[in-house]
Amino acid sequence: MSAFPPRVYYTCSYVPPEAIWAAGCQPVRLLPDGPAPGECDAYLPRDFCPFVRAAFWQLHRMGEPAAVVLTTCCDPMRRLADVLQHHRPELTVLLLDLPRERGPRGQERYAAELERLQSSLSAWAARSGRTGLAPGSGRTLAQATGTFDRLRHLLRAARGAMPAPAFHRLLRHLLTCHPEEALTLLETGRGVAAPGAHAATEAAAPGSTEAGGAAAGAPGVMVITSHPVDPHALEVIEKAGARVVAEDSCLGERLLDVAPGSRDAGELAHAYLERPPCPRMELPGERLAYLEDLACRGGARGIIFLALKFCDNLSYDLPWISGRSLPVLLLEADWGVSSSGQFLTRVQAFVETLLPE
Amino acid sequence: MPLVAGVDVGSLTTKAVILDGDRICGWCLRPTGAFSQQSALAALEEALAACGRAREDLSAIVATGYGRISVPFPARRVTEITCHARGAWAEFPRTRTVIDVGGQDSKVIRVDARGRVTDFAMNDKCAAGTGRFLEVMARALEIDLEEMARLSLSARGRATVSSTCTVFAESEVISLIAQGRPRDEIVRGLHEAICDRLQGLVARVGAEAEITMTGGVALNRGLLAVLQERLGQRINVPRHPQLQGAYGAALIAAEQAA
Amino acid sequence: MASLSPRTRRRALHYALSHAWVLSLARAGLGLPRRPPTEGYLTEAVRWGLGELAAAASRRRPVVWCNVALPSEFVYGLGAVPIMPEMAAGFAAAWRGAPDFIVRADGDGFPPDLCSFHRCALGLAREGWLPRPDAVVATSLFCDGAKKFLAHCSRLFGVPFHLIDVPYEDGSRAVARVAARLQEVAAALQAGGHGFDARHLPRSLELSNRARQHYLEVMRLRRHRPAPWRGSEALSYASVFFMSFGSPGGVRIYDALRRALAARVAGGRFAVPRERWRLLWLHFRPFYPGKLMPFLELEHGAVIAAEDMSHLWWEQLDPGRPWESLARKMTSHFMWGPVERRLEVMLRLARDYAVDGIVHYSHWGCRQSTGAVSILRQAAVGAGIPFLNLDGDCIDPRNGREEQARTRLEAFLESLPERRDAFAAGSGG
Repeated sequence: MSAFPPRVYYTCSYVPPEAIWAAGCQPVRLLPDGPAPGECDAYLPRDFCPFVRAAFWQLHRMGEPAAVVLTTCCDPMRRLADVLQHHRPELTVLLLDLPRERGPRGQERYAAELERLQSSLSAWAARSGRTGLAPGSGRTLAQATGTFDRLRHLLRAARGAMPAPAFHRLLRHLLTCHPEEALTLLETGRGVAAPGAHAATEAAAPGSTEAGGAAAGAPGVMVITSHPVDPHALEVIEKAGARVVAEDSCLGERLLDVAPGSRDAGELAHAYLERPPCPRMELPGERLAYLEDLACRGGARGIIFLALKFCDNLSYDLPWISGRSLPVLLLEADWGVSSSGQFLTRVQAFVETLLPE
Repeated sequence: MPLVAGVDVGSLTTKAVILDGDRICGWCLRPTGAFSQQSALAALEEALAACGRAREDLSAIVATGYGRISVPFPARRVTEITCHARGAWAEFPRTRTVIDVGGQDSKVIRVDARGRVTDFAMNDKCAAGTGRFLEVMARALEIDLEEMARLSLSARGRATVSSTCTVFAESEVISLIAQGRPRDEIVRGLHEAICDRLQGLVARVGAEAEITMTGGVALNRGLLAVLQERLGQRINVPRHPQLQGAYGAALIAAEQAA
Repeated sequence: MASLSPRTRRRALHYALSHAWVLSLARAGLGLPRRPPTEGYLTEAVRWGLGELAAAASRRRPVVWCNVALPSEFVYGLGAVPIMPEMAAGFAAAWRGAPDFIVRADGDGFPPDLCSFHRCALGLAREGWLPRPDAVVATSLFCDGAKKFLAHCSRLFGVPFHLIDVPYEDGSRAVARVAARLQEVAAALQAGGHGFDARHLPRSLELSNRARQHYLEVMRLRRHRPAPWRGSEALSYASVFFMSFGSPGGVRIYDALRRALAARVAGGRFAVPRERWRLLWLHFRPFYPGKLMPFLELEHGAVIAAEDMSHLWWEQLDPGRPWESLARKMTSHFMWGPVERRLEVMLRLARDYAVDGIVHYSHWGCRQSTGAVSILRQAAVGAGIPFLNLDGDCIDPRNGREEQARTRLEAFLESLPERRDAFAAGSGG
């Protein structure tokens, strides 16, 4: 195997990284560092998903002729595919048609898409002259799935052992590095002891409120968002005196809760479509039962609804979630800018209402 | 040579320019206030008085600016986009891009070699990136606009102002003051925020050299420095950037009279 | 309705009493001569609209709430009345009632980032202004907000929700999948009572085809220079365009319109006194009364010669193969799939209708449309056609910024002939 397989970027938790890995490429989760600058207005409007804008900008500025895997998950993502294909033709854009129906028909459709993904990526890698796999050393989908099943298992364990902000800093690193390197880091425990993570783990010790960790006895909250959750936002929440005990985000349950052992595209499609639903996949009513169960299991006393601006799919869930038993705090955020003073004040005030009299 | 006038009724100020041939012989700049019609008339009369002429001497008037529709004298109406382009191009004929930051909107205009508009983009939705935005922020910081420019140039660091909405940016500025950030860094941060918006507009139509900046905000050297740095090129500033719309209007009036 | 402000109620009454279509209905009913400018097609539209509303309100026929991307033939084919709440929002805007309904939706916790079509429609639904649905059917075609909004409505009213998931790429497999799903939904609706009956389907498709023939002729007549119909008026008929195909009313409306436009062309009576420019309008117009459209078409003579939203994109339907036909109408939608489909439509319309410029109206909150503007602009400019993107709001006048829009349109028109020169010079050199 080549030490440096070609990198393939992907944006959505419904894209199986194991399919990219099986095609001999390195899956890299696209997690832009900060908001897109004003110059991005030339390509995408300002009143538009800030995550998609930031993702566009990162790909736009990228030097390498990379491949990008997107899904048809929402209007902004579909337009991102169009805008990349028109303004950055040197990028290879693969758009997976993500069904909404989850029964056999949806699975059959998605399995065909995953097969298309694998064959397109293999061809792309060969064309780019950087074949990830040496001849005769092919990696089967089952082998690739094994790697990622193991990775998810270790990540779940790590998540239980450290505060949410530290876990997410670690996760962001692992989702962008070579899968085998990520496995090594987690198996040797070096990942958990990574500098940022380490400080935060210590901070979670009783009586300590340093470095953004929450104090013991802090009320547990569930965070709901439609995008990869912003570690800064989690830091602010913990700094405000709450503990994140459940997380419904693209990097929360939706990332880790995948049935293991898929051997072919059909099984993989099944595993991915049957995982905890994202707001795009499900209707508000159907998602409620799942969210209530998640909150209950974590022992959450309140919900922080982290609405990335202009996200239609998430916004429609808010009225249903607000009307239930747990109190809800709505926070509107831009991508990569959520740590303002106002943000902290609001979370602190919310936490004050959750504390026992 | 025919005597002509251009009157630019903006949201904050009203400007009038009297042109005798290709020479500005009189001008006036006054606050628009609540009565734009009176303001338009007063500006025209004052500009005429400055050169000792009367309205009867004028062979054409062009009105521009948001109040152009209701000027209380016979005038041809042309948008400020066309007028600013014409005015900037007349003063700097190699201008291909005009950046105008007005009271309630900002615009970026592309012009061709003959000073004609080929494309433009304007700010959307709110007053971020406009003269009004700067005024509100200066008030929050308890400084005047000139001091704002000076502070920005001397700032060593910069605060991050993420919000692009005037109201939210104001409360962000107040939080930054509360955190004890130096005022010069906040001012610099505000200028960066505005320039980010302007850069967005520039990107939409493309920036071809030379660039000329019009509107009163062009006099803010602090902001100008940030914008030049971001665009990576020098920006022309006319002698009276606030008058550029009225000047362009007068030039169009002169063409009409000729 | 009690929570609406007295002002809105007064306006609704005023609208009902004074607006042209109610008057013309009264005229038709009383046998008075019809208003000349609409030569009967408005009367037909009102007759159809009120007839459908009456059938829904009296529960003579079941009611289906759906989004504009669901073919109305499917609903008529089940013997039901289609109600598209998004289009109802357009009517609310027309009599200046939209802000009150939007405030109602805001009070329910919907953020103002969401599309005002849906927020206004939510207010209408909550206030009981629309006939209660027996079922809600949504397609996954473009606009994410529409399906979430409709799912929300189904919960509000406690009625079944059916989603028709349309594959992104067109093709025979996609058609087969959607056809199967349409059959499934039809079966579920029929099993649920309320009198849904799919035996109306062949007739619905046949009626749709007849209306289609008339509409194709309307589109052909609109190519005439000067234009016989104002695009601002054509866009006001969006609700008719999306909701009447498949009904007898649809045939009558478009037959009357076709005859009216033919008579105008023959008699030399045109849309605007002096046609100086012809424009292609992309997306919807502001539906609330305002000066923007009269300013553009009447004052400046810039007539909207064509619109993408009201161009006919589907092939003739086959009443013998109703499910496949309807599925094809959906999978081939020009707003679905890669943006190339929309580009092709834009350039084709621009050429066929000989336009001098293209205006894209960027409705606040419409991600699927505004996200493509940079590509549309590049393609238009590449083809030598000036392009203007106009920010605004179709439903909420508070977000409409009419003065700004006027200035932009005026500046755009000021630059039009010059841009043509610029292009000619550029292409010549």
